[in-house]
Amino acid sequence: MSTNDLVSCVSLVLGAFFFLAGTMGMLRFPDVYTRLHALTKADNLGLGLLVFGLALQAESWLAVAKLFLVWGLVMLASTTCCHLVAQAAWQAGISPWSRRDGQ
Amino acid sequence: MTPTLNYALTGVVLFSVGLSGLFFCAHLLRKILSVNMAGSGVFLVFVALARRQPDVPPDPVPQALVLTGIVVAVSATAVALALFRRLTHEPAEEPHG
Amino acid sequence: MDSSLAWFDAILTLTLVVVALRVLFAQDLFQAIVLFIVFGLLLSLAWCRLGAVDVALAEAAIGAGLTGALFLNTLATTRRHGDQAPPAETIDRKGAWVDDKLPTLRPRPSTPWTGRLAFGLVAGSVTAWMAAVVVPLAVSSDAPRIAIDEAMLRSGVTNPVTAVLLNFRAYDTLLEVAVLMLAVLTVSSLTAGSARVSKALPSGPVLTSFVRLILPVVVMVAVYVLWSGTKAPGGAFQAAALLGAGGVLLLVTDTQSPSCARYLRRVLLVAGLAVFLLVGLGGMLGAGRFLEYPPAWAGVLITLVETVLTVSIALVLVMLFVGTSPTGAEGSARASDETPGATPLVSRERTS
Repeated sequence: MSTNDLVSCVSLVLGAFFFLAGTMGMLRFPDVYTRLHALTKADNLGLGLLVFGLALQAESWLAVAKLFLVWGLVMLASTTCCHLVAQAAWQAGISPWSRRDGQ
Repeated sequence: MTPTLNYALTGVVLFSVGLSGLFFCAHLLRKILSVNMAGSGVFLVFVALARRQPDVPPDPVPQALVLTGIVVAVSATAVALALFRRLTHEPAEEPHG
Repeated sequence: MDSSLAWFDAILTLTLVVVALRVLFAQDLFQAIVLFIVFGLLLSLAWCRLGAVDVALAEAAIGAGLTGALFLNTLATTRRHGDQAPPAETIDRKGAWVDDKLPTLRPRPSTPWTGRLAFGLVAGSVTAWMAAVVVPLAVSSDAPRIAIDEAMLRSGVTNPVTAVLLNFRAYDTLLEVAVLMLAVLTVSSLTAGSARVSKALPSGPVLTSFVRLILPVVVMVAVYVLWSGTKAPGGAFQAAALLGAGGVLLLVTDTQSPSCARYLRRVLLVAGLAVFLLVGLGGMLGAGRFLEYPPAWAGVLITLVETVLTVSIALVLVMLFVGTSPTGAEGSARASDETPGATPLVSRERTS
Protein backbone atom coordinates (compact mmCIF):
# COMPACT_ATOMS: atom_id res chain seq x y z
CA MET A 1 0.00 0.00 0.00
CA SER A 2 1.53 3.27 -1.08
CA THR A 3 1.40 6.54 0.86
CA ASN A 4 -1.18 7.75 -1.58
CA ASP A 5 -3.48 4.86 -0.77
CA LEU A 6 -2.90 5.27 2.94
CA VAL A 7 -3.78 8.99 2.94
CA SER A 8 -6.80 8.29 0.78
CA CYS A 9 -7.94 5.52 3.11
CA VAL A 10 -7.60 7.63 6.25
CA SER A 11 -9.43 10.48 4.57
CA LEU A 12 -12.32 8.24 3.49
CA VAL A 13 -12.70 6.70 6.95
CA LEU A 14 -12.59 10.13 8.58
CA GLY A 15 -15.19 11.38 6.13
CA ALA A 16 -17.47 8.45 6.93
CA PHE A 17 -16.98 9.20 10.63
CA PHE A 18 -18.13 12.80 10.11
CA PHE A 19 -21.23 11.55 8.32
CA LEU A 20 -21.93 9.21 11.21
CA ALA A 21 -21.49 12.03 13.72
CA GLY A 22 -23.75 14.33 11.72
CA THR A 23 -26.45 11.69 11.47
CA MET A 24 -26.28 10.99 15.19
CA GLY A 25 -26.54 14.71 15.82
CA MET A 26 -29.63 14.91 13.66
CA LEU A 27 -31.22 12.05 15.56
CA ARG A 28 -30.21 13.08 19.06
CA PHE A 29 -30.08 16.88 19.19
CA PRO A 30 -33.01 18.62 20.87
CA ASP A 31 -34.41 21.06 18.30
CA VAL A 32 -34.45 22.00 14.64
CA TYR A 33 -31.61 24.53 14.86
CA THR A 34 -29.11 22.29 16.61
CA ARG A 35 -29.98 19.44 14.28
CA LEU A 36 -29.34 21.64 11.27
CA HIS A 37 -26.05 22.66 12.78
CA ALA A 38 -24.95 19.08 13.26
CA LEU A 39 -26.09 17.98 9.85
CA THR A 40 -24.68 20.71 7.63
CA LYS A 41 -21.37 21.09 9.46
CA ALA A 42 -20.63 17.40 9.57
CA ASP A 43 -21.83 16.69 6.05
CA ASN A 44 -19.80 19.46 4.46
CA LEU A 45 -16.61 18.41 6.15
CA GLY A 46 -17.38 14.71 5.75
CA LEU A 47 -18.08 15.10 2.05
CA GLY A 48 -14.92 17.19 1.69
CA LEU A 49 -12.85 14.41 3.18
CA LEU A 50 -14.56 11.81 0.98
CA VAL A 51 -13.94 13.94 -2.11
CA PHE A 52 -10.31 14.42 -1.12
CA GLY A 53 -9.87 10.70 -0.56
CA LEU A 54 -11.48 9.85 -3.90
CA ALA A 55 -9.54 12.56 -5.75
CA LEU A 56 -6.30 10.84 -4.72
CA GLN A 57 -7.55 7.72 -6.47
CA ALA A 58 -8.87 9.45 -9.60
CA GLU A 59 -7.24 8.60 -12.88
CA SER A 60 -7.53 12.00 -14.53
CA TRP A 61 -7.52 15.67 -13.58
CA LEU A 62 -10.94 16.01 -15.17
CA ALA A 63 -12.34 13.51 -12.66
CA VAL A 64 -10.68 15.46 -9.82
CA ALA A 65 -12.26 18.67 -11.08
CA LYS A 66 -15.67 17.01 -11.28
CA LEU A 67 -15.34 15.68 -7.74
CA PHE A 68 -14.50 19.10 -6.36
CA LEU A 69 -17.33 20.64 -8.39
CA VAL A 70 -19.69 18.19 -6.70
CA TRP A 71 -18.34 19.20 -3.31
CA GLY A 72 -18.74 22.90 -4.06
CA LEU A 73 -22.29 22.47 -5.36
CA VAL A 74 -23.36 20.36 -2.39
CA MET A 75 -21.94 22.95 0.00
CA LEU A 76 -23.81 25.72 -1.80
CA ALA A 77 -27.06 23.79 -1.79
CA SER A 78 -26.86 22.53 1.77
CA THR A 79 -25.95 25.96 3.10
CA THR A 80 -28.92 27.52 1.35
CA CYS A 81 -31.30 24.76 2.43
CA CYS A 82 -30.11 25.02 6.01
CA HIS A 83 -30.67 28.77 5.93
CA LEU A 84 -34.19 28.35 4.50
CA VAL A 85 -35.23 25.72 7.02
CA ALA A 86 -33.89 27.78 9.89
CA GLN A 87 -35.59 30.90 8.56
CA ALA A 88 -38.92 29.11 8.18
CA ALA A 89 -38.60 27.67 11.68
CA TRP A 90 -37.78 31.08 13.13
CA GLN A 91 -40.71 32.71 11.34
CA ALA A 92 -42.98 29.93 12.60
CA GLY A 93 -42.09 31.04 16.09
CA ILE A 94 -39.91 28.16 17.18
CA SER A 95 -37.50 29.50 19.74
CA PRO A 96 -34.06 27.95 19.94
CA TRP A 97 -33.52 25.30 22.55
CA SER A 98 -31.63 26.34 25.64
CA ARG A 99 -30.41 24.41 28.63
CA ARG A 100 -33.09 25.98 30.81
CA ASP A 101 -35.81 24.23 28.85
CA GLY A 102 -34.67 21.12 30.61
CA GLN A 103 -35.58 18.79 27.75
CA MET B 1 -27.75 -14.47 -3.43
CA THR B 2 -26.80 -12.68 -6.62
CA PRO B 3 -27.38 -8.94 -6.88
CA THR B 4 -29.95 -9.59 -9.61
CA LEU B 5 -32.02 -11.85 -7.38
CA ASN B 6 -31.62 -9.48 -4.43
CA TYR B 7 -32.82 -6.41 -6.32
CA ALA B 8 -35.51 -8.26 -8.27
CA LEU B 9 -37.02 -9.63 -5.05
CA THR B 10 -36.83 -6.15 -3.51
CA GLY B 11 -38.73 -4.90 -6.53
CA VAL B 12 -41.45 -7.50 -5.93
CA VAL B 13 -41.66 -6.52 -2.24
CA LEU B 14 -41.83 -2.82 -3.10
CA PHE B 15 -44.59 -3.52 -5.60
CA SER B 16 -46.59 -5.34 -2.96
CA VAL B 17 -45.98 -2.54 -0.42
CA GLY B 18 -47.24 -0.03 -2.96
CA LEU B 19 -50.24 -2.17 -3.82
CA SER B 20 -51.16 -2.57 -0.16
CA GLY B 21 -50.81 1.17 0.33
CA LEU B 22 -53.15 1.75 -2.60
CA PHE B 23 -55.69 -0.60 -1.01
CA PHE B 24 -55.41 0.30 2.64
CA CYS B 25 -54.37 3.95 2.93
CA ALA B 26 -57.36 6.20 3.16
CA HIS B 27 -55.77 9.46 2.16
CA LEU B 28 -55.70 10.13 -1.57
CA LEU B 29 -52.23 11.68 -1.55
CA ARG B 30 -50.91 8.59 0.14
CA LYS B 31 -52.58 6.44 -2.49
CA ILE B 32 -50.76 8.41 -5.18
CA LEU B 33 -47.49 7.93 -3.29
CA SER B 34 -48.23 4.20 -3.13
CA VAL B 35 -48.81 3.94 -6.85
CA ASN B 36 -45.47 5.62 -7.42
CA MET B 37 -43.84 3.15 -5.09
CA ALA B 38 -45.39 0.16 -6.84
CA GLY B 39 -44.12 1.59 -10.12
CA SER B 40 -40.62 1.86 -8.70
CA GLY B 41 -40.84 -1.81 -7.69
CA VAL B 42 -41.65 -2.78 -11.28
CA PHE B 43 -38.75 -0.65 -12.55
CA LEU B 44 -36.44 -2.36 -10.10
CA VAL B 45 -37.47 -5.80 -11.41
CA PHE B 46 -36.83 -4.65 -14.99
CA VAL B 47 -33.41 -3.18 -14.37
CA ALA B 48 -32.34 -6.09 -12.14
CA LEU B 49 -33.29 -8.57 -14.86
CA ALA B 50 -31.33 -6.49 -17.39
CA ARG B 51 -28.17 -7.36 -15.50
CA ARG B 52 -28.23 -11.12 -15.24
CA GLN B 53 -24.73 -11.76 -16.51
CA PRO B 54 -22.33 -9.79 -14.34
CA ASP B 55 -19.44 -9.87 -16.79
CA VAL B 56 -21.18 -8.37 -19.81
CA PRO B 57 -22.61 -4.84 -19.93
CA PRO B 58 -26.30 -4.73 -18.94
CA ASP B 59 -29.04 -5.00 -21.53
CA PRO B 60 -29.93 -1.43 -22.57
CA VAL B 61 -33.51 -2.17 -23.68
CA PRO B 62 -35.06 -2.54 -20.20
CA GLN B 63 -33.03 0.43 -19.01
CA ALA B 64 -34.43 2.59 -21.79
CA LEU B 65 -37.94 1.35 -21.00
CA VAL B 66 -37.48 2.29 -17.33
CA LEU B 67 -36.14 5.70 -18.29
CA THR B 68 -39.28 6.22 -20.34
CA GLY B 69 -41.35 4.88 -17.48
CA ILE B 70 -39.95 7.35 -14.96
CA VAL B 71 -40.92 10.28 -17.14
CA VAL B 72 -44.39 8.86 -17.79
CA ALA B 73 -44.78 8.21 -14.05
CA VAL B 74 -44.07 11.82 -13.18
CA SER B 75 -46.60 13.07 -15.74
CA ALA B 76 -49.23 10.61 -14.49
CA THR B 77 -48.51 11.77 -10.94
CA ALA B 78 -48.95 15.38 -11.98
CA VAL B 79 -52.33 14.58 -13.55
CA ALA B 80 -53.40 12.69 -10.42
CA LEU B 81 -52.33 15.57 -8.21
CA ALA B 82 -54.19 18.07 -10.38
CA LEU B 83 -57.31 15.90 -10.09
CA PHE B 84 -56.76 15.73 -6.34
CA ARG B 85 -56.52 19.49 -6.18
CA ARG B 86 -59.67 19.81 -8.18
CA LEU B 87 -61.42 17.54 -5.68
CA THR B 88 -60.28 19.45 -2.64
CA HIS B 89 -60.97 22.92 -4.00
CA GLU B 90 -64.44 24.08 -4.81
CA PRO B 91 -64.54 25.14 -8.46
CA ALA B 92 -66.45 28.25 -7.45
CA GLU B 93 -63.47 29.80 -5.77
CA GLU B 94 -61.27 29.54 -8.80
CA PRO B 95 -61.13 32.86 -10.55
CA HIS B 96 -62.58 32.63 -14.02
CA GLY B 97 -60.74 33.77 -17.10
CA MET C 1 -18.94 -11.53 -6.30
CA ASP C 2 -17.31 -9.26 -3.79
CA SER C 3 -18.79 -10.04 -0.39
CA SER C 4 -18.60 -6.44 0.91
CA LEU C 5 -20.63 -5.32 -2.10
CA ALA C 6 -23.13 -8.07 -1.36
CA TRP C 7 -23.48 -6.61 2.14
CA PHE C 8 -23.96 -3.18 0.66
CA ASP C 9 -26.69 -4.54 -1.62
CA ALA C 10 -28.43 -6.25 1.26
CA ILE C 11 -28.38 -3.14 3.45
CA LEU C 12 -29.53 -0.91 0.59
CA THR C 13 -32.46 -3.11 -0.36
CA LEU C 14 -33.49 -3.55 3.27
CA THR C 15 -33.40 0.23 3.74
CA LEU C 16 -35.48 0.68 0.60
CA VAL C 17 -38.19 -1.63 1.93
CA VAL C 18 -38.16 -0.02 5.39
CA VAL C 19 -38.38 3.50 3.96
CA ALA C 20 -41.23 2.38 1.68
CA LEU C 21 -43.14 1.04 4.67
CA ARG C 22 -42.45 4.24 6.60
CA VAL C 23 -43.92 6.25 3.71
CA LEU C 24 -47.18 4.37 4.18
CA PHE C 25 -47.19 4.48 7.96
CA ALA C 26 -45.69 7.89 8.75
CA GLN C 27 -48.32 9.76 10.69
CA ASP C 28 -47.76 13.10 9.06
CA LEU C 29 -48.22 13.48 5.33
CA PHE C 30 -45.36 15.95 5.04
CA GLN C 31 -43.10 13.39 6.65
CA ALA C 32 -44.36 10.73 4.24
CA ILE C 33 -43.50 12.92 1.24
CA VAL C 34 -40.00 13.67 2.51
CA LEU C 35 -39.49 9.95 3.09
CA PHE C 36 -40.66 9.36 -0.47
CA ILE C 37 -37.93 11.72 -1.71
CA VAL C 38 -35.41 9.81 0.40
CA PHE C 39 -36.74 6.62 -1.16
CA GLY C 40 -36.12 8.01 -4.64
CA LEU C 41 -32.55 8.98 -3.80
CA LEU C 42 -31.83 5.53 -2.34
CA LEU C 43 -33.36 4.02 -5.45
CA SER C 44 -30.95 5.94 -7.66
CA LEU C 45 -28.12 4.37 -5.66
CA ALA C 46 -29.66 1.00 -6.51
CA TRP C 47 -29.71 1.95 -10.21
CA CYS C 48 -26.00 2.73 -10.00
CA ARG C 49 -25.33 -0.66 -8.43
CA LEU C 50 -27.24 -2.30 -11.28
CA GLY C 51 -25.17 -0.47 -13.87
CA ALA C 52 -28.04 1.74 -15.02
CA VAL C 53 -26.44 5.17 -14.69
CA ASP C 54 -28.86 6.74 -17.19
CA VAL C 55 -31.77 5.62 -15.05
CA ALA C 56 -30.02 6.81 -11.89
CA LEU C 57 -29.66 10.32 -13.31
CA ALA C 58 -33.32 10.43 -14.30
CA GLU C 59 -34.47 8.98 -10.98
CA ALA C 60 -32.53 11.47 -8.87
CA ALA C 61 -33.72 14.46 -10.89
CA ILE C 62 -37.27 13.44 -11.82
CA GLY C 63 -38.31 10.53 -9.62
CA ALA C 64 -37.04 12.01 -6.39
CA GLY C 65 -36.67 15.71 -7.09
CA LEU C 66 -39.53 16.79 -9.29
CA THR C 67 -42.11 14.28 -8.05
CA GLY C 68 -41.34 15.31 -4.49
CA ALA C 69 -41.73 18.97 -5.42
CA LEU C 70 -45.11 18.21 -7.02
CA PHE C 71 -46.31 16.43 -3.86
CA LEU C 72 -45.07 19.18 -1.52
CA ASN C 73 -46.71 21.77 -3.74
CA THR C 74 -50.04 19.95 -3.61
CA LEU C 75 -49.76 19.46 0.14
CA ALA C 76 -49.14 23.18 0.55
CA THR C 77 -52.28 24.05 -1.41
CA THR C 78 -54.45 21.72 0.64
CA ARG C 79 -53.08 22.83 3.98
CA ARG C 80 -53.63 26.47 3.16
CA HIS C 81 -57.12 25.83 1.97
CA GLY C 82 -59.76 27.62 4.02
CA ASP C 83 -58.80 28.73 7.48
CA GLN C 84 -55.16 28.99 8.41
CA ALA C 85 -55.26 26.47 11.21
CA PRO C 86 -54.00 23.09 10.15
CA PRO C 87 -56.98 20.88 9.41
CA ALA C 88 -58.01 18.39 12.01
CA GLU C 89 -56.04 15.25 11.53
CA THR C 90 -56.84 11.90 12.90
CA ILE C 91 -55.02 8.64 12.77
CA ASP C 92 -57.25 5.73 11.97
CA ARG C 93 -56.73 2.24 13.30
CA LYS C 94 -54.36 1.21 10.55
CA GLY C 95 -52.16 4.21 11.18
CA ALA C 96 -53.27 5.94 8.03
CA TRP C 97 -53.41 9.69 8.14
CA VAL C 98 -56.97 10.82 7.60
CA ASP C 99 -57.85 14.42 7.10
CA ASP C 100 -61.37 15.57 7.81
CA LYS C 101 -61.44 18.03 4.99
CA LEU C 102 -59.93 15.91 2.30
CA PRO C 103 -61.89 13.37 0.31
CA THR C 104 -61.21 9.74 0.77
CA LEU C 105 -62.41 7.06 -1.56
CA ARG C 106 -64.25 5.24 1.20
CA PRO C 107 -66.42 6.50 4.00
CA ARG C 108 -64.30 6.85 7.10
CA PRO C 109 -65.78 4.14 9.26
CA SER C 110 -63.33 2.01 7.41
CA THR C 111 -64.20 -0.98 5.31
CA PRO C 112 -65.38 -4.07 7.13
CA TRP C 113 -62.93 -6.83 7.84
CA THR C 114 -64.21 -8.89 4.92
CA GLY C 115 -63.24 -6.10 2.55
CA ARG C 116 -59.84 -5.77 4.15
CA LEU C 117 -59.36 -9.51 3.93
CA ALA C 118 -60.29 -9.49 0.25
CA PHE C 119 -57.88 -6.63 -0.48
CA GLY C 120 -55.17 -8.39 1.49
CA LEU C 121 -55.72 -11.64 -0.40
CA VAL C 122 -55.55 -9.84 -3.73
CA ALA C 123 -52.34 -8.02 -2.77
CA GLY C 124 -50.79 -11.20 -1.38
CA SER C 125 -51.63 -13.36 -4.36
CA VAL C 126 -50.42 -10.76 -6.85
CA THR C 127 -47.14 -10.57 -4.95
CA ALA C 128 -46.77 -14.34 -4.79
CA TRP C 129 -47.51 -14.66 -8.49
CA MET C 130 -45.02 -11.92 -9.33
CA ALA C 131 -42.33 -13.56 -7.20
CA ALA C 132 -43.02 -16.91 -8.85
CA VAL C 133 -42.47 -15.32 -12.26
CA VAL C 134 -39.48 -13.19 -11.35
CA VAL C 135 -37.34 -15.60 -9.33
CA PRO C 136 -36.77 -18.20 -12.10
CA LEU C 137 -36.00 -15.36 -14.51
CA ALA C 138 -33.52 -13.85 -12.07
CA VAL C 139 -31.60 -17.04 -11.39
CA SER C 140 -31.37 -18.21 -15.00
CA SER C 141 -28.20 -16.94 -16.59
CA ASP C 142 -29.07 -17.55 -20.24
CA ALA C 143 -30.79 -14.24 -20.63
CA PRO C 144 -32.56 -13.72 -23.93
CA ARG C 145 -30.82 -10.66 -25.14
CA ILE C 146 -31.91 -8.67 -28.09
CA ALA C 147 -29.01 -8.63 -30.47
CA ILE C 148 -28.19 -4.97 -30.73
CA ASP C 149 -24.43 -5.13 -30.55
CA GLU C 150 -23.87 -5.15 -34.27
CA ALA C 151 -26.75 -2.76 -34.83
CA MET C 152 -25.00 -0.30 -32.52
CA LEU C 153 -22.46 0.37 -35.23
CA ARG C 154 -25.15 1.79 -37.47
CA SER C 155 -27.07 3.64 -34.79
CA GLY C 156 -25.09 6.86 -34.92
CA VAL C 157 -24.40 6.96 -31.17
CA THR C 158 -22.29 4.87 -28.83
CA ASN C 159 -24.37 5.03 -25.64
CA PRO C 160 -26.58 1.93 -25.98
CA VAL C 161 -29.41 3.43 -23.93
CA THR C 162 -29.58 6.50 -26.16
CA ALA C 163 -29.45 4.21 -29.20
CA VAL C 164 -32.44 2.25 -27.90
CA LEU C 165 -34.38 5.37 -26.93
CA LEU C 166 -33.89 7.37 -30.09
CA ASN C 167 -33.12 4.85 -32.77
CA PHE C 168 -34.18 1.23 -32.22
CA ARG C 169 -37.26 1.97 -30.17
CA ALA C 170 -37.88 5.55 -31.20
CA TYR C 171 -41.59 4.76 -31.45
CA ASP C 172 -41.73 4.37 -27.66
CA THR C 173 -40.02 7.67 -27.10
CA LEU C 174 -42.19 9.48 -29.64
CA LEU C 175 -45.34 8.21 -27.97
CA GLU C 176 -43.90 9.04 -24.57
CA VAL C 177 -43.46 12.65 -25.62
CA ALA C 178 -47.06 12.58 -26.81
CA VAL C 179 -48.10 11.30 -23.37
CA LEU C 180 -46.23 14.20 -21.80
CA MET C 181 -48.12 16.65 -24.02
CA LEU C 182 -51.37 15.00 -23.01
CA ALA C 183 -50.45 15.30 -19.34
CA VAL C 184 -49.66 18.99 -19.69
CA LEU C 185 -52.94 19.58 -21.52
CA THR C 186 -54.87 17.71 -18.83
CA VAL C 187 -53.18 19.47 -15.94
CA SER C 188 -53.57 22.93 -17.41
CA SER C 189 -57.20 22.38 -18.34
CA LEU C 190 -57.93 21.00 -14.88
CA THR C 191 -56.46 24.06 -13.27
CA ALA C 192 -58.22 26.19 -15.91
CA GLY C 193 -55.26 28.48 -16.36
CA SER C 194 -55.82 29.93 -12.91
CA ALA C 195 -52.76 28.39 -11.38
CA ARG C 196 -49.98 30.83 -10.84
CA VAL C 197 -46.94 30.00 -8.87
CA SER C 198 -46.75 32.13 -5.80
CA LYS C 199 -43.35 33.06 -4.59
CA ALA C 200 -43.37 30.32 -2.00
CA LEU C 201 -39.96 30.89 -0.51
CA PRO C 202 -39.04 33.89 1.57
CA SER C 203 -36.71 36.15 -0.32
CA GLY C 204 -33.36 36.98 1.07
CA PRO C 205 -29.81 37.59 0.04
CA VAL C 206 -28.79 33.98 0.62
CA LEU C 207 -31.41 32.45 -1.62
CA THR C 208 -31.06 35.11 -4.29
CA SER C 209 -27.32 34.70 -4.54
CA PHE C 210 -27.71 30.94 -4.52
CA VAL C 211 -30.09 31.08 -7.47
CA ARG C 212 -27.80 33.49 -9.31
CA LEU C 213 -24.85 31.21 -8.76
CA ILE C 214 -26.55 27.94 -9.46
CA LEU C 215 -28.60 28.71 -12.57
CA PRO C 216 -25.68 29.13 -14.97
CA VAL C 217 -24.20 25.93 -13.56
CA VAL C 218 -27.52 24.14 -14.10
CA VAL C 219 -27.67 25.25 -17.72
CA MET C 220 -24.05 24.31 -18.28
CA VAL C 221 -24.46 20.86 -16.74
CA ALA C 222 -27.67 20.31 -18.72
CA VAL C 223 -25.88 21.09 -21.98
CA TYR C 224 -23.03 18.81 -20.94
CA VAL C 225 -25.38 15.96 -20.05
CA LEU C 226 -27.20 16.39 -23.36
CA TRP C 227 -23.99 16.51 -25.35
CA SER C 228 -22.39 13.56 -23.62
CA GLY C 229 -25.57 11.50 -23.92
CA THR C 230 -24.54 10.17 -27.31
CA LYS C 231 -21.53 8.35 -25.90
CA ALA C 232 -21.91 8.20 -22.12
CA PRO C 233 -24.82 8.11 -19.67
CA GLY C 234 -26.96 11.17 -20.19
CA GLY C 235 -29.32 12.47 -22.82
CA ALA C 236 -32.44 14.47 -23.45
CA PHE C 237 -34.48 13.37 -20.45
CA GLN C 238 -31.76 13.90 -17.88
CA ALA C 239 -30.81 17.27 -19.34
CA ALA C 240 -34.46 18.29 -19.46
CA ALA C 241 -34.88 17.31 -15.82
CA LEU C 242 -31.98 19.57 -14.88
CA LEU C 243 -33.31 22.49 -16.92
CA GLY C 244 -36.79 21.92 -15.50
CA ALA C 245 -35.43 21.97 -11.96
CA GLY C 246 -33.70 25.25 -12.74
CA GLY C 247 -36.98 26.65 -14.06
CA VAL C 248 -38.84 25.55 -10.94
CA LEU C 249 -36.18 27.20 -8.79
CA LEU C 250 -36.65 30.44 -10.71
CA LEU C 251 -40.39 30.22 -10.29
CA VAL C 252 -40.46 29.71 -6.53
CA THR C 253 -37.92 32.33 -5.62
CA ASP C 254 -38.30 36.04 -5.70
CA THR C 255 -35.72 36.41 -8.39
CA GLN C 256 -36.65 38.24 -11.53
CA SER C 257 -38.10 35.48 -13.64
CA PRO C 258 -37.87 35.89 -17.38
CA SER C 259 -41.30 36.25 -18.88
CA CYS C 260 -42.12 34.18 -21.87
CA ALA C 261 -44.73 35.13 -24.44
CA ARG C 262 -47.68 32.80 -24.52
CA TYR C 263 -47.31 31.79 -28.14
CA LEU C 264 -43.57 31.24 -27.76
CA ARG C 265 -44.25 28.96 -24.81
CA ARG C 266 -46.70 26.96 -26.86
CA VAL C 267 -44.31 26.70 -29.78
CA LEU C 268 -41.50 25.50 -27.55
CA LEU C 269 -43.83 23.06 -25.82
CA VAL C 270 -44.80 21.25 -29.00
CA ALA C 271 -41.48 21.74 -30.79
CA GLY C 272 -40.03 18.48 -29.48
CA LEU C 273 -42.92 16.36 -30.65
CA ALA C 274 -43.14 18.24 -33.96
CA VAL C 275 -39.46 17.92 -34.81
CA PHE C 276 -39.47 14.26 -33.79
CA LEU C 277 -42.47 13.61 -36.05
CA LEU C 278 -40.90 15.52 -38.94
CA VAL C 279 -37.67 13.56 -38.60
CA GLY C 280 -39.73 10.38 -38.55
CA LEU C 281 -41.60 11.38 -41.70
CA GLY C 282 -38.32 12.37 -43.32
CA GLY C 283 -37.06 8.87 -42.56
CA MET C 284 -40.16 7.53 -44.27
CA LEU C 285 -39.32 9.51 -47.40
CA GLY C 286 -35.60 8.85 -47.30
CA ALA C 287 -35.18 5.34 -45.95
CA GLY C 288 -38.65 4.00 -46.62
CA ARG C 289 -39.82 3.47 -43.05
CA PHE C 290 -41.16 5.77 -40.39
CA LEU C 291 -38.48 6.82 -37.89
CA GLU C 292 -35.72 5.06 -39.78
CA TYR C 293 -32.64 7.22 -40.14
CA PRO C 294 -30.13 6.90 -42.95
CA PRO C 295 -27.01 5.57 -41.14
CA ALA C 296 -24.82 8.44 -42.29
CA TRP C 297 -27.24 10.97 -40.83
CA ALA C 298 -28.29 9.08 -37.72
CA GLY C 299 -25.93 10.83 -35.33
CA VAL C 300 -26.86 14.32 -36.50
CA LEU C 301 -30.59 13.60 -36.53
CA ILE C 302 -30.52 12.05 -33.06
CA THR C 303 -28.65 15.06 -31.69
CA LEU C 304 -31.15 17.42 -33.33
CA VAL C 305 -34.16 15.56 -31.95
CA GLU C 306 -32.58 15.32 -28.51
CA THR C 307 -31.78 19.03 -28.37
CA VAL C 308 -35.31 20.11 -29.23
CA LEU C 309 -36.76 17.43 -26.95
CA THR C 310 -34.69 18.74 -24.05
CA VAL C 311 -36.23 22.20 -24.29
CA SER C 312 -39.75 20.84 -24.72
CA ILE C 313 -39.55 18.33 -21.89
CA ALA C 314 -38.00 20.90 -19.55
CA LEU C 315 -40.93 23.20 -20.29
CA VAL C 316 -43.36 20.31 -19.76
CA LEU C 317 -41.88 19.60 -16.34
CA VAL C 318 -42.08 23.27 -15.33
CA MET C 319 -45.69 23.47 -16.53
CA LEU C 320 -46.59 20.34 -14.56
CA PHE C 321 -45.15 22.06 -11.50
CA VAL C 322 -47.13 25.22 -12.23
CA GLY C 323 -50.27 23.13 -12.64
CA THR C 324 -50.06 21.75 -9.12
CA SER C 325 -49.28 25.11 -7.55
CA PRO C 326 -51.59 27.22 -5.44
CA THR C 327 -53.87 29.49 -7.46
CA GLY C 328 -53.10 33.14 -7.70
CA ALA C 329 -55.88 34.04 -5.30
CA GLU C 330 -54.57 31.74 -2.61
CA GLY C 331 -51.06 32.93 -3.20
CA SER C 332 -51.93 36.56 -2.71
CA ALA C 333 -54.07 35.76 0.31
CA ARG C 334 -51.10 34.03 1.84
CA ALA C 335 -48.73 36.81 0.98
CA SER C 336 -50.73 39.24 3.08
CA ASP C 337 -51.08 36.81 5.91
CA GLU C 338 -49.68 37.65 9.30
CA THR C 339 -47.98 34.34 9.90
CA PRO C 340 -46.02 33.41 6.82
CA GLY C 341 -44.44 30.60 8.75
CA ALA C 342 -47.51 28.42 8.51
CA THR C 343 -45.76 26.40 5.88
CA PRO C 344 -45.89 22.65 5.96
CA LEU C 345 -42.15 22.71 6.32
CA VAL C 346 -42.19 23.11 10.07
CA SER C 347 -45.82 22.84 11.00
CA ARG C 348 -45.18 19.64 12.86
CA GLU C 349 -42.12 20.77 14.72
CA ARG C 350 -42.48 21.18 18.41
CA THR C 351 -42.87 24.81 19.29
CA SER C 352 -41.86 24.88 22.92
